[in-house]
Amino acid sequence: MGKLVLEGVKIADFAWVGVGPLTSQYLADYGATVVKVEWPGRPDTLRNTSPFKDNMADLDRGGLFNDFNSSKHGITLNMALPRGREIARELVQWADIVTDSFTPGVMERFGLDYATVKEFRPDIVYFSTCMMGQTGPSSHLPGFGNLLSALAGWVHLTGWPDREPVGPAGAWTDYMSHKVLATALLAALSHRRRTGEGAYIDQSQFEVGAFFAAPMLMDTATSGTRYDRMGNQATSASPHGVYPCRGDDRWCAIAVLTEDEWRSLCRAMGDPELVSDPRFASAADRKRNEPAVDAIVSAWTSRHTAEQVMTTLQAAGVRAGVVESGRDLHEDPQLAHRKHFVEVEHSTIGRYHCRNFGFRLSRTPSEPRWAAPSLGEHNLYVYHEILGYSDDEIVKLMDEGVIS
Amino acid sequence: MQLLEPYRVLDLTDAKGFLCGKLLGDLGADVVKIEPPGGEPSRRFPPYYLGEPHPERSLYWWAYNSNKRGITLNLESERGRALFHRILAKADVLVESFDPGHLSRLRLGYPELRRRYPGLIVVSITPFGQTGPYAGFKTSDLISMATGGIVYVSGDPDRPPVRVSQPQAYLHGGAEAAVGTMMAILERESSGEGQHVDVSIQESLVSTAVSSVVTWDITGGVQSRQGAIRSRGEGRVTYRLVWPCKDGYVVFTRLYGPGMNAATADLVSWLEAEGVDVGDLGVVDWDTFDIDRLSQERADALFEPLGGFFARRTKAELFDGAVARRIPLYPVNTMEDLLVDRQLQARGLFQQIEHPELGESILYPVEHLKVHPEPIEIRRRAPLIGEHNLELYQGELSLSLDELRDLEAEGVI
Repeated sequence: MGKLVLEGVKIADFAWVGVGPLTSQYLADYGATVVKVEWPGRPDTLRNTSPFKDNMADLDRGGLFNDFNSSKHGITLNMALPRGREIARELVQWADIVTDSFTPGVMERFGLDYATVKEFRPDIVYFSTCMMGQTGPSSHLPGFGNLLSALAGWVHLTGWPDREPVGPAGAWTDYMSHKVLATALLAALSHRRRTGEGAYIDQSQFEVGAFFAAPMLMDTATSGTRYDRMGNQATSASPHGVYPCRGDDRWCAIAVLTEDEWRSLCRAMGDPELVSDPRFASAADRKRNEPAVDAIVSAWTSRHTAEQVMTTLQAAGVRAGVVESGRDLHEDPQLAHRKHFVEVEHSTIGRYHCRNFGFRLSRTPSEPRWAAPSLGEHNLYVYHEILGYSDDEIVKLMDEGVIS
Repeated sequence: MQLLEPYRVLDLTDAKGFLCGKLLGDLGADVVKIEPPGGEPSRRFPPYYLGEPHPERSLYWWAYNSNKRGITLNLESERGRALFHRILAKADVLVESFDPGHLSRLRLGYPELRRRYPGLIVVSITPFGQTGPYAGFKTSDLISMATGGIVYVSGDPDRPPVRVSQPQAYLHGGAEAAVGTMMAILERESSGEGQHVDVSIQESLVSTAVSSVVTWDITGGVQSRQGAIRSRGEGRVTYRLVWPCKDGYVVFTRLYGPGMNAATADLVSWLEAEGVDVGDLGVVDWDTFDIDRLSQERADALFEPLGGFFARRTKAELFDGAVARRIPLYPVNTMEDLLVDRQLQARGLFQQIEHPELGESILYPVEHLKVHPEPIEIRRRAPLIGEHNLELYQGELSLSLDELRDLEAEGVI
């Protein structure tokens, strides 16, 4: 691989859990030197979060942690100690970018909040990302992405109308927030290169969650429209849903958006007579008779595998896609074609797969470069090569419990 | 100066790619949306202002095309393409979301563009990517969400998997494209060269299903949907995430293990302060409590008083109490709730944006990210069809009014 896009960019990475590490991962995989700071009293929460490698809980076996932290250097630095905070300051002095995803106030207690850092590093690019943002009456409320998804409206919108809401699995707002934050962070880096000026980004993941709901919010504000969960139904298209396929818990999604697509579906199902069935003559008719439509489609899909349904319908010009499980994604021929999963070697758990991003650069592509660090894996490299400590000094810091 | 002020982005996308240019525009880039004469078909993307289907009334269009200028240009015509080349000569980035191969048929494929404009960055946003076995497949929100992996793990266990009920997939593709665009811009700042950024919406969504992906990779297990009651790991004790309350639902979870002990203790104190019989919750030593040692039966019995407490209070009462006590207990909000949320109001997310063509101002979520020193604002609402034709064709390309009339008569603009 040639020169990476962000070679030479230096990041003091204090962020933990989801959005912060996912954001710095874009930069790490694309060549930046990312020093991730943890200490045994405060490891990244995801080190303690399932799934674990072979279902054995251990700080180095947390699957989400290992997924989000590829290509980073991991150090232990006890920030609870004054000497630890001094060294953190040296790391900030070295860095181009500082990341923070703590609850507001924590970086201030470490003497590393943006206002303080700006005093000695006026050109720093610094982001803080958290549930609610740095200001406002709820800013100090702790939380996690899958709770925030409820606050931001996404739990209410996911599930069946006759049942309690279930929400999208996982920390839904995290996975929009990191994409938006990385865009702004890279823009700030570009701006700094051109002007020498730093920038501060204060992200409220709640606000990104609302931004992704913008059309609904605007509609509710202007027309009083109410948005509720509706299973897989669409307002005016039919068939539109997830249909059972051969096998255990196998499904294929089908979305018929035009009359042409309906006719193609009927032919692909081997049932061209359906085209002239007055119950299904238009989208509005099919909506009115949706249980009948869904029963006919289900009867056909049940006889085939989800993959067969997808390829048969796509060949006929009908929108269809396997409802992919974790296994399906790993075996998906399209993702394989794009080399989405990249095998890396972890220092304690051995081989596993990291994900690549959703984009490929034609001339300067990149991919996960190495596995997530075990706790303190790169202490020697970082304290020695980056911060310039001698072996004796490092031993002393270890004795003092600063590096542990 | 705004972060991306020196850059010009040409935006040829339909709904699949709006958000890419929108984010770059929010950060200061000069984004010019180029639509076919008569307007881009995604102007028909619902919902509509006051429910009226009309190409100038799509709220989806408005929300994600503000901070862009807009011109019309027929790329299918020879004259249109000649004009397009004049515009391209001044552009840094071209974002498009046509089917793979479409621009090549117009002799505007990346290899051709690269020869003429070596510094140009071309960003292509498609359902599955430019090449590969699914490259020719069609998509919709549901199909992208399904093939990205989030649908399989969402929903009640006894029903089919479900998507988020409103379109989200293309926003993920657009935001991921914006990250890719920025990578290419940063690279160009040192090399002076452009490149092709190939974005797959499916692949942009895999991050949303990361737990499912990782579970298969490191445990060989297939994660399935769990509904409102979830476990801390395969085969482990389940806890309620979504709880009914007096006027809807709230979320509170013990999914996070020891880290939630202190918050649970605070919640129990709150129940006690309000005279609720908390049963065994009152005698738990939260400093040493190990959630993972409970049996399912014991866990259900222990946390039962929470359900009764929530059921007798409204979302607002519970959230107010949670904020005061710093307990991660959140309401399951509707869109109406978001519009009056105190936190969003305090930070000024919503602003009224003028729509002079309607004589109205419309509420938008504007500053979705606080950037200092130059804040994100809506400098211009989404363009009307051809709104900036004169400004661009006459002002920048110095076409005369006669030429413009001629182009219009020929259906080029």
